[in-house]
Amino acid sequence: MKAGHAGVPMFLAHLGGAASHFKGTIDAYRETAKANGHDPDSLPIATAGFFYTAETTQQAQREYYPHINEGMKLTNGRGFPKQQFAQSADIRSVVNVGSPQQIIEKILYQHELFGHQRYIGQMDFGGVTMAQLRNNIELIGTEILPAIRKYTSKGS
Amino acid sequence: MNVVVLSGSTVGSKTRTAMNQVMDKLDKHTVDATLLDLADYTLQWSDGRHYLDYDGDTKYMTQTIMDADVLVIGTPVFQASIPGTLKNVFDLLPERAFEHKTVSIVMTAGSAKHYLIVDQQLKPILNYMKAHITQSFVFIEEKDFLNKQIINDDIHFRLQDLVDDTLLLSETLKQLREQKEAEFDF
Repeated sequence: MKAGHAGVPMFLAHLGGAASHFKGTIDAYRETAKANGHDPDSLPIATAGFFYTAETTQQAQREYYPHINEGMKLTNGRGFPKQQFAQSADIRSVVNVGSPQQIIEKILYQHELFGHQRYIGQMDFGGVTMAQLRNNIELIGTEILPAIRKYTSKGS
Repeated sequence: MNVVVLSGSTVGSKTRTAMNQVMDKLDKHTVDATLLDLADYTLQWSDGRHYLDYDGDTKYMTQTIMDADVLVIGTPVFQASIPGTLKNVFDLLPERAFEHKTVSIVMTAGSAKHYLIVDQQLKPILNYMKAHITQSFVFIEEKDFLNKQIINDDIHFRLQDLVDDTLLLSETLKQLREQKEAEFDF
C-alpha cells in the first residue's frame, strides 16, 4: 500500500505458501498506485523466493531440504516444516524447488498470476555447495531461461 | 525431552512455590528440566524485534523457551488476568512460537472466582501461538498455601497428574510427528 501510494517499484519476498496468497498484495499495490495517480503498468514488480533445481523434483527436494531447513534455523530460529516443504512439489506453491520443467511451469504460473517483471531466486542459502550451485546455474541457462523467454518475449 | 518450567510473576511467592513443586514432580521422569522465574531476570519490554535479536536475560529467556519441547506455565491472577510481565514473555516470542510444543498451566489465585481466567484469557493466547495444551490445568487458591508450602494433598496429586499427563502428551505427539515426517521422501 505504501509503495503504491508513493508510486515506487515493489520487491516482494515469498518464503512459502500458495502463490495465489500473494496476489492480494500485488493487486492492492496496483490499485493504490492507480488511485494515487500513478500508472500501474509502468511500475515494475520483483518477487524473490527460494530456488533449487535438479534433474527431478524428487531429487531437488532431497538435496535442498537440509539446506533450507538449516538456513531457516540460522536466520529465523526454526527450521522449514517438512509438511510445508512437501507442498513445493505442487505448482501452486510459491517455493521454486523442482525439476527444470517444474520450475518453468511454476515461474510461468506465477508470472500469469502476478504479471511481475523480475524474479530473483534465493539460491545460496543454508550451505548449498558450489557444485550444486553450478549445476543450478547450468540448468537455468540451458533449460529454464530459454523456455521462459519463449513465453515472455512476446511482449506479455 | 527438554522441559521449561516458567514462574510467570516478578512478585509474590505462591506461583514460585507451586512451580518448585512442579520441578519436584518432574524428578521421577528422565527429562532436562529448567526453572525460569521471571523474578530472577530483568527482561526488556517487547519492541517488535525478532527474538534472536535481543540480548542478555531477554535473549536467554526467549531462547530457552524456544528450545523447549514442553513448557509448564505458572501464573498468578492480577486484575482478573495474567501479569503484564508474563504477557511480555509471549510478546517477545514469534507468532507460532509454541508450534510442536506441549504447554501446561498452573494458576494461583486469591479467590476461586478467578477460575475461568485460564480458559478465557490464557488459553486463547496459547492457542493463537499454536501450543498443544494439556487439557487439564491445576488451579491453586490462597487457602492451599501456608508458609510457602502447599498444604492441600489434593493439589500435590493434581500437580503430579499434570506433569505425568503433559509428558505423555508431548511424547505421543512427538512420535506421531516423527511418523508423519518419515513419510516424506526428503
